[in-house]
Amino acid sequence: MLQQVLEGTEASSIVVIEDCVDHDGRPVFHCFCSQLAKRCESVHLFHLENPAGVFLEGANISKVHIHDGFSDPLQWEEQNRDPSADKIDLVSAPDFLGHLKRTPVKTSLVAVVIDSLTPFLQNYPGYVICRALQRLLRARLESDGIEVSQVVAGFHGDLHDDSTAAALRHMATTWVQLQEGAESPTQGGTGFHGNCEVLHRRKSGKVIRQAEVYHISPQWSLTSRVQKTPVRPVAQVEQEAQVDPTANLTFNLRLTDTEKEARSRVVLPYMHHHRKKAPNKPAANPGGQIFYQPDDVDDFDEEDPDDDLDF
Amino acid sequence: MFTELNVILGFDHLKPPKGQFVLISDSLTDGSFLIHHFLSLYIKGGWKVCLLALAQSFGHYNAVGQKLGVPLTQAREKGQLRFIDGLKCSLQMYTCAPQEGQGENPLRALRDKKATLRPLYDLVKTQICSEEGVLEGPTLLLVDDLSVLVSLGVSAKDVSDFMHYCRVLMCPTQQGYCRVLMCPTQQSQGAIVSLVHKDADVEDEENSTLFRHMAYHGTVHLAVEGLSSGYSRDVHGQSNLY
Repeated sequence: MLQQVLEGTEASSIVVIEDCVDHDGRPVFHCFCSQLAKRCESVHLFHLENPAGVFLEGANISKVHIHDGFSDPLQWEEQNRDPSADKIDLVSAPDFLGHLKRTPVKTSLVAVVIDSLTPFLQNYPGYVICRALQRLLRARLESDGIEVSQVVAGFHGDLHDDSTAAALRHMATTWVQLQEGAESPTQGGTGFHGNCEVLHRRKSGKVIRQAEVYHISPQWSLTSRVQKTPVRPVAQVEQEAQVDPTANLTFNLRLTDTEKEARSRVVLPYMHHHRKKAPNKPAANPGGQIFYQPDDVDDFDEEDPDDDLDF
Repeated sequence: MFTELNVILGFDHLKPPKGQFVLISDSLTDGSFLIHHFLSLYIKGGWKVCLLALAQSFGHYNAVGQKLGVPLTQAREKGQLRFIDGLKCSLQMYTCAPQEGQGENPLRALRDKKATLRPLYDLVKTQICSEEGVLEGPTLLLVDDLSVLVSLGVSAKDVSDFMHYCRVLMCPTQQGYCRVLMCPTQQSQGAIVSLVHKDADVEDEENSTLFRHMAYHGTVHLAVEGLSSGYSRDVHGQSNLY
């Protein structure tokens, strides 16, 4: 599913890649940047956490418009501020669509890549960010001059609370949660690989959730397949090595076969041995019979045998 | 000192780390020995160092430096070492009255909740950069340590914003996960080494959040921790490299 979403064969308007400290999402993010630059007319990269060059390796740079939120997000560098440059700042509320409209080259179908949502979420409540993302997706060619085909955003799951994650998860059509870290490449290495869980909502309403294994080549192409649950063999009861109490003794506790047979024939006391007595002889105590011989003065009342009821 | 560590990390005093953000975390032990290691590494290599000291005074670093054969007093007089006495600034914020110059203190965020660490960043920038605002050769920014700021009441977000700007200043084209692919000529001239405490037996949500923020910023993570088997006289701990 991840590969299908990446290649565009599975439609998805908002893709959120959730990573954490142990599981770096930047390689997957990089693949999306690379792939979107191939299949979309224009890609707008909003980078706030990493320099733009980190994600542009191997991508068609001519199609990528960079919106810089990395170098001066809080406007601390006043003297270096170029008013003509389209920079993102966290001082004002996020307006992704506004930045798209300000780009000189307007194309009809664009993809938006945001690295990442965390700086925005640290400065503004979750609903403000969700609203800005919705405005992006609702943009129409006729009214706004631009139409967004896909939004891909990074999200650090361990820096935000569950309510923020839930709100974004509700909005996203594809949620990719990385579960096993992408390994660092070695010199001339084979790229990255890892596990993830993909939650994908189709327009028909069908929801697909599956665990996948992905592999990223050094050329930043991603392949993924459904992770097969390992077939567990029939649970074999492992016989624990029983400790033999009769071993390693100075005396013999074992029984021979004849002794075992004799032991099974031992008559235990206080047990009924009906088969040994004559079959027609009654039992000594068949259950306790009460023989009542009333006297002449006894007035046995069935309803009040103790004669203590006073009605 | 620690030549094996230098070999593993791939840098030494002749080839200092450039474009790297080294995050040192310690748990149930003291990781500040790595601060002294990087300090002596750069001073011996003749490179520039800016030490933002929040946990110890200059005398402490000088004393340790002398044992390592690195005279910090001379380096400071030559201008090779720029020392920012964060410890003294933080004390002044709490002991001096507001009218006695707290307005110029780079750590005024300790008393003023609306203030950020921007004054501290401006001070670091003036210490490191030339008048044009660029680095002059390989420069190391050492921060010892960030957990002190959180302990004194600065939010993890403000510390993260400060370190973000330091990172943009020191290593704007930092090597990340794709360092084998990036062109060497694009390397930044600066590097950052910072220490964050991450004690496993202390439940400090703000400090944990700070550590996670720094882990996202960092390119190299050196986790120093005590031995799981307990205290040992000969072996003080272990370190993991991520």
